[in-house]
Amino acid sequence: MITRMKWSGLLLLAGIGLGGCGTDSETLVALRMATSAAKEAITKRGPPAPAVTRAMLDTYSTPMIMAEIPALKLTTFVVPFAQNGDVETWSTVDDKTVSFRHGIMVATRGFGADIMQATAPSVAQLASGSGSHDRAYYYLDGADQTQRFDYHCAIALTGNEAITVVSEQHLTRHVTETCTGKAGSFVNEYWFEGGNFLRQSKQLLVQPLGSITFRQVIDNG
Amino acid sequence: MLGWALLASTELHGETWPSLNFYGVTGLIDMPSGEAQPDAHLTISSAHFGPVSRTTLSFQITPRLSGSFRYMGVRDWNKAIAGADPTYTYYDRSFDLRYQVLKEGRFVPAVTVGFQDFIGTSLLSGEYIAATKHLTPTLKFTAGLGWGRLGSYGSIGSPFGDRPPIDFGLGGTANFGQWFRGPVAPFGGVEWQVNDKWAVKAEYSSDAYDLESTSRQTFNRNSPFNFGVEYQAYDTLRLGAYYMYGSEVGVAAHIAMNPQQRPMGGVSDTAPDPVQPRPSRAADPEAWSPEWITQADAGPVLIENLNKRLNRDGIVVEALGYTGSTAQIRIRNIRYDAEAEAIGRVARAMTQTMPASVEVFEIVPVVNGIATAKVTLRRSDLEALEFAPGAAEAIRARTTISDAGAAIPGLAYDPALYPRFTWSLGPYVRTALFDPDAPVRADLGLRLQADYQIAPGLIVSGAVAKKVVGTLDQSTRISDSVLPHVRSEANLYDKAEGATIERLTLAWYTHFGSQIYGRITAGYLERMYGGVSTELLWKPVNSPLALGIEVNYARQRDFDQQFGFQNYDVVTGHASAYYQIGNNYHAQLDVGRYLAGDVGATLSLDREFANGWRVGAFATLTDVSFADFGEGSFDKGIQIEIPFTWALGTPTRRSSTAVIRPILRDGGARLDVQGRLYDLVRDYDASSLDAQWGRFWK
Repeated sequence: MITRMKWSGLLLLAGIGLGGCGTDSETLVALRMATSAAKEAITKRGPPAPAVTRAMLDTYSTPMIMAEIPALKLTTFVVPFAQNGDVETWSTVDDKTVSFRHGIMVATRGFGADIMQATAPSVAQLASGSGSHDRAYYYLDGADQTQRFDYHCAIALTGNEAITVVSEQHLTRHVTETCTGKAGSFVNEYWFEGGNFLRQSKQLLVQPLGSITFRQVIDNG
Repeated sequence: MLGWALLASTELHGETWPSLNFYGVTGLIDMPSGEAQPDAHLTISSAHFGPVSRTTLSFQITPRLSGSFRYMGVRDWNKAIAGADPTYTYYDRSFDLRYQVLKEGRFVPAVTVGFQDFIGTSLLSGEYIAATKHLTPTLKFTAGLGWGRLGSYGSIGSPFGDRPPIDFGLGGTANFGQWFRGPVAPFGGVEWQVNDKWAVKAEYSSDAYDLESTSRQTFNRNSPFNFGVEYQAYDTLRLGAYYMYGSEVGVAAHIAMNPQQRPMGGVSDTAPDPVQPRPSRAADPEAWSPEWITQADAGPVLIENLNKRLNRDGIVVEALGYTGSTAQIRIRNIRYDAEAEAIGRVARAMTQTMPASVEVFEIVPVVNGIATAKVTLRRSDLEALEFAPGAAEAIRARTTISDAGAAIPGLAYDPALYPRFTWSLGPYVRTALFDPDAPVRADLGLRLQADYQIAPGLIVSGAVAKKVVGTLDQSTRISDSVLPHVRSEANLYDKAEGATIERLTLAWYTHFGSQIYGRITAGYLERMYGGVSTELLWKPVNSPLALGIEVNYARQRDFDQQFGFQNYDVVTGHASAYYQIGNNYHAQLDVGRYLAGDVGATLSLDREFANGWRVGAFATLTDVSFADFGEGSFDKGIQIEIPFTWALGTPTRRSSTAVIRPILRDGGARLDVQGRLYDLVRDYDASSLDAQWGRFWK
């Protein structure tokens, strides 16, 4: 899909052929974008996923969450970066950010089709394993206009589950949040450990691209 | 790079695609249909059968009105003429207009009235009424009546009298007298969408191809029936193969673009700095003290801290002024196509850097040293709304966009910024279209550009170009214009050997009060002219109307584009009115004296989209008679601006503008000066900021 959408851009650049060098950095940006688009079109694959081991993680002391987006073949790590009220923003090294309210994703930046804002149930509501609520996601469309997608969601407790996060076992309660709206339906999943601590979750980024899976690999030091 | 088609248009194409025909308009194979393209779609078609080739650019101007510009060639034109050049190809340009009278309903067909080749030499001239109705969701029938060319086969009479012979003279004027006159003939056909990708078509054509087939014998028209199969390769690309008129094979490719939506959806960009909330006043009263303003080095330190954060976003902080509670910064936005995104990132960087006592942020975007607007935000709103549902609308409701006004007392420029030297070296492409000897000629070369900004608003700018390879110098056309040869000898400029000075100017930009802007540019203004250009513009930030006046003295440059001049000089200039009509339409009227000394007016009408796409047309009428103007009768053309962000999905302010004229002659010609004020200033007016305000928080 990426390559199919890029061809018009490549055509445009081929036709206009602007690039070059100089202190006029924006010229370079255009050239770089064309190069990376071309590369992507040719190779048709994302970067390989890094193999993570507990030994590697032990060299860090800051809290860290591993984030995976299967649709983009992307595995990356985020660390705490900023806080505004009860929202924590975590960042990758290459300037992608995810903002959580007590572990529930309410915004992303740097992923392209970002969640601009989202309303979400509280972590306590989800951890309770029952109930229903409304949810809204705000995105920008290809004309930079805000588009709001509304869903109605139901929470259900799946049961206790032992999960492995980078070779460490965790006993968790598995909770699902099934949401249905005009744009379709999706399921968010949460694995709570010892009360409300979110060890692992799978939360929607955007339909139909899919979800991000978060695994907390280093806890608060 | 991440990019995908999410959140792109969810527009429905009805049950089937409103596909295009060989004329590049909505239709069957060679015949038109009653359907229309989705609003604002821009299509490029290239269709070929036997000796006939047509390339067409069409734009759905409104949901019902569309316009097309076409370039056509017929090979073997002299096949039947003994002794004539057998390789000669006949080329012609044509314009169409179509209006959809009825939209398809449950019982009502879609009905379109069309005027084909309604100005020009009218080889393709014809009018039609076509109706299209779906019988099943995938099967649609079209029936129509054609006049002119489209009434030349199987006529059923001439209900509105004889078609007068056309006297196209120099071409370029409308043929009102012919419309719907002469023989009328029925045509029709069927299209079946087999599945998402494949469609088959069959039609009965009412075009006899009298000239191409009978007179010129370029191909044999043996049958009125055409058949085709089409393949929708992507949303943007449709391919077709056909059997035409019982004798020829045809192929066609249609590219469709939707300027309203980026094909890749939301832009890909690095994350911004988040908002840094202040500590509560109770917890840290010292942080809130306004005493920092007494520190002598506060200003330079704050500018440096802001630039550290913003330079990687392609934003430069030029100046800062402050009181204990208000900070005003002047920024230059080099990267963001969406000006609101630049404002949003600056505001967040200010929450990271400004002392806590500063509550009001005044952000003034600056272009070429001139302040274009003032965006005023409250810091506590930024802190409160960063993650609020619908944060873009919420922050906009608390934001004031006003004229830049006077600078805050004590505003100080970053001394490190001026003087400032920038340069770039890159390739360029220059084209010349529609010469019958070679319809497309082009040069590829290298261009070195440099700017030296002496002080805010005072800029020395130059560009030197060197052709590397190309065919522009092969034109042997000699200007037959009876007017001064102000543009018709462009091909002689293309023959220059060695490096050429495209421009070398000293320009001064200023604003007299906040709503009035001024510019003086002197030097080698463009490839063909040097001189002095002066301009005044009145443009309030919150008004749809702007007025401008430009007076220039121009002298024609030598063909070699070095420092020399020719003998022709002229005082030329215009009074201009610019108006944003609403619904993304924009009009511009220029009245004044043109390069050849002719006096008249230019009207430009554009449809402009929030993301920077612009599609429009212009026409100029002056006191030069059609006879003196020559081929085409008067100056006219279409212009298309495509922002690179639309195609690439990554923010950049670069765009590509194409102006397509059927023919460039000497009447109604204007000077091509860089840095005209309206285009510089309007990007930051309230309507431009609002058009992409959603990107404030991106």
